[in-house]
Formats: sequence, C-alpha cells, structure tokens
Amino acid sequence: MGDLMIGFENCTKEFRLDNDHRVILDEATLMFDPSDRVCVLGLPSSGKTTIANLLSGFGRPNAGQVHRSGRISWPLGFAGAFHPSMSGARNIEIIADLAEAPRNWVSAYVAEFSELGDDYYRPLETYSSSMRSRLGFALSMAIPADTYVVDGIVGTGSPSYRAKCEVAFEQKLDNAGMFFVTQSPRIAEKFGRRFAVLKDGDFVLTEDFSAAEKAFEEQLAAQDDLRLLVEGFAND
Amino acid sequence: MSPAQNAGPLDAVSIWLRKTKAIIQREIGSRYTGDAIGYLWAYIVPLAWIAVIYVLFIALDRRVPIDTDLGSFICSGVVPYLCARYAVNAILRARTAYRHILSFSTVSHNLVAGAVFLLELGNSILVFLTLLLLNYALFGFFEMHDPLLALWGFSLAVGVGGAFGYLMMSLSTIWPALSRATPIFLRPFFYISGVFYTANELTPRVVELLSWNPLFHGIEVLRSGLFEGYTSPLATNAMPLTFIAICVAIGFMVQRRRFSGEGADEDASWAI
Repeated sequence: MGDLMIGFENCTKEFRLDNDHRVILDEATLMFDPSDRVCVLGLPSSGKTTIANLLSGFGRPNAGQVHRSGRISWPLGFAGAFHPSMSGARNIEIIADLAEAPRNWVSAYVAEFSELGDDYYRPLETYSSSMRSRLGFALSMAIPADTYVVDGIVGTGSPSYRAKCEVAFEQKLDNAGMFFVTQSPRIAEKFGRRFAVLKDGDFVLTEDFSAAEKAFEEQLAAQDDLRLLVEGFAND
Repeated sequence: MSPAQNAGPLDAVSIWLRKTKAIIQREIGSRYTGDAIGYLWAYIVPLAWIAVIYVLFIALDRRVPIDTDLGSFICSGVVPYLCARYAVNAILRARTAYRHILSFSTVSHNLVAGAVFLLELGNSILVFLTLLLLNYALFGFFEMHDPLLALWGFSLAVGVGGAFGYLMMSLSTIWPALSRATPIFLRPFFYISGVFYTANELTPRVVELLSWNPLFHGIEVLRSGLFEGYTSPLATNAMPLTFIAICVAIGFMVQRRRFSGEGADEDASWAI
C-alpha cells in the first residue's frame, strides 16, 4: 500500500447497547487514493454514517486502522460543530481560524453560498434545520479538501438549492477525490468512479457500477424477503 | 500540509495565537451563552459558596485563624479551590466539546487544553479580584499584602487544577470512564486543602500528611501574598510546581503515544 493511500485497513467497528450487538465493520479493508471517487452502497441502517465519521476522524475503530492523509473533509454539510448561541458568521470565522483557512474569504463565501442574508449574523438557535444545513454545506464548499466525505446525499433544501449544491460539488471534484456512502444507486452512479458494496461488515469492491448496483439490489431483495418472512410469522 | 507546517517561527506563533483566540472566543460564546446573565453566572456560584461558608462560620461561632476579616479569609480558600475545580472540569469537558474540531490536524488536544486553561486562569483571576472588591464595597475590608505573590499563589492553585485536568483528559482518551470518575477524586480536596482552615491550625502530624496536597500549598502561598505577616509551613512552590510538571509530562506523553500513529499518517486533515 502506498504512503498516500487512505481508507480502512482490517477495521472492526461495533456497538454494544444493552443486549444489542451491532457490527458495522468486521475486519474490513478498503484503501484508495485520495483523488479517487469511491462510492459505497449500503443498506439502510447498515452503519453508513459511522463509516463516514470514521474516515472524517470523528471516531476510532475498535480494531484495525483508519488511514487519513491529505486534507480529508468532515461529512459534507456537517453542522454538528456549530454552537447554537453564536451567530452563523461567528461560528464560520472560528472554524476557519482553527482550520487555518482565510477567515474573511471563507466567511464571505459562506454568506453568499448559503443565501442566509441577514440571518447569517443571527444566533444559530434561531435557524431552521434547513438554514443550518445550508450553512454546513456552504462551509464544506468554502474550504478545499483533497478528499470529500459524503454521507447519503449531496446538498440540502429545495430542489433548486440542491441542484446548486450538486453543481458546486461537481466543480470541487475536478481537483479532489471523494468517499461517498449512500443507499441511492442513482447518486452513486452520478458521482462515483469506483464502486463497492457494504456486505456483512465488509467492503466488496465491484468492477463497475452495474455490478455494484446488481449486488446492492440483491441485498435489498434479501432484506425484503426477510422482512416479509418476519411479517408472515407475526401475522400467524 | 497546513499553513502552520510551512510557516517560519513568527508566523507559527501568529497562527497559534489566532487559533488560541478562536478557541477562547468559542468558549466564551458557548459557555456563557453569550449574554450578560451567562457571564454573571461565573460570579454567582463562588459567591453562593462564600455565603454558605460565611453563614456556617457564624453559626458555628468559628473564629478566623488569621488577623483578618471573615470575608477575605473565606475568599482566600474557597475561590482558589473552586477555580482549580473549574479548570479541571473545563479541560475535561473540552475533549468532548471539541471532538469534531479535533479531527483537524491543525487542532491538537494540547492546543485546546492550553487555550481553555488560559481562559480559565484569566477568568478566575477576574472573579477573585471582583469578589475581593465586593468584600471591600460591602464590609470595607481589602487585603493585598504582596500582589505578585498573591497572583503567583492563585495561579499555582489554578495551575494545579489545570494540570490535573490535562492529565485526566489525556488518560481518558484511553479510559473514557476516567473523565466521569474525576469529580469523585476531587471531592475530598474541599476538606483537605485548607479551604476553611490554615496549615498553622493543624498538628505537625496532620501538616505532614497534607503536605503532599499541591492545592493546599497554592492556597497557602496565596494567603502569604494576601495577608501581611502570614507565614505557613505549606506555603512552598516546590510541591505544586512538581505536581504540575509531572501531570503535564505524563499527559503529554500519553497524547503523543495515543496519537503518534495518526500524526505520521494524517498530516493535514483539516479541511471541512
């Protein structure tokens, strides 16, 4: 493996809550170049957000190693680090300073891209969830990354604003890579260049999108069969 | 590679100052919820403690062991004790409050702990001075024999708290339960740090037993600076300074060991 490769090496990530034991990754390995555009298709509730958070550095695996080199982003549109009692502008300026990014430029870009108007200078606790998402997404676009981490969807808000986000993100991908975990084959096909399917806690790399889509649909069908079986037992 | 890694020493200092300021601004904005009542809260809690001990002293008919007024004596014990605890709690809390921001390679646990401690120290000194002035305004008493020595003693006490908080923050990256258990370790210090008595009131055997407590030393150094003619067998710098050095050294080594793998691997995961 090259020095610049990023990703997951023999990673195990599991949660134990009361009697529930969930294994998200089970000695899973997926290494790729930071400039790759990797899409991982995963079923609902299979742990996609946990995997995105691991690569973003928000958590650690129980075993194995997450390799991070170059500038790896927070999950696109992440708004969890904002503080509600501070204004959008103050939140952005502080994060820009901590990221060693040009504060004034970042703040001006976010103000314009988020389309928040005067609300940009009001406390976040007055924001709707859509406004917070726009602020988070604008921040993601304001600071360049070598690899963007995407959890689920690109963009937020109204269809027109989401389209604007997708255009901005596609422009970013001209000079950057991407690690995208999603349950939407349509979005995966649009943004991805390499594809994998999350299966039984492991990353299964496929030759192309068609193979990934086929494997993913088989998983979906198996999940539906299982659901029908459980419902059948329940009805009996 | 982040700009700081390419910068010269002066630029690096400037970037460090900017990031420290950003953390302090974030702390002020979040901790005090950004309004006047939030700021007042920093004063109300120690004031309430002082009031409770004041009432207890009067109710138990306890005499002040130093030739000074009751308010100044209580301030000299309660405020450094509380501020040391605040420093521990603030640094411990920072590990979770900054967990997302700590994913930037430009932000380390050391940077966050240092910035939070600086804010805590400055805030503590301000609270202490305000309470001394309040005592003067209400009762006409103000004690300040040697301002520099008083400031040094107060800083030692808060520094002991900060260093212990840093050690616990570092160790809790390995054993997360430690951060929840820390208040249990701290509770006895209210009774064994000379908060409402002085070392001179104790028997030599008890002084010897409590001489390992660095917070007691800090409080006694503070009293030496506040009260003219006050001398104490525990007013020494060696114990608190050694304690601070050991805590910081162990904490730093734990941080390095814990994050050494990442440090080599993620040179600049700072983008958003």
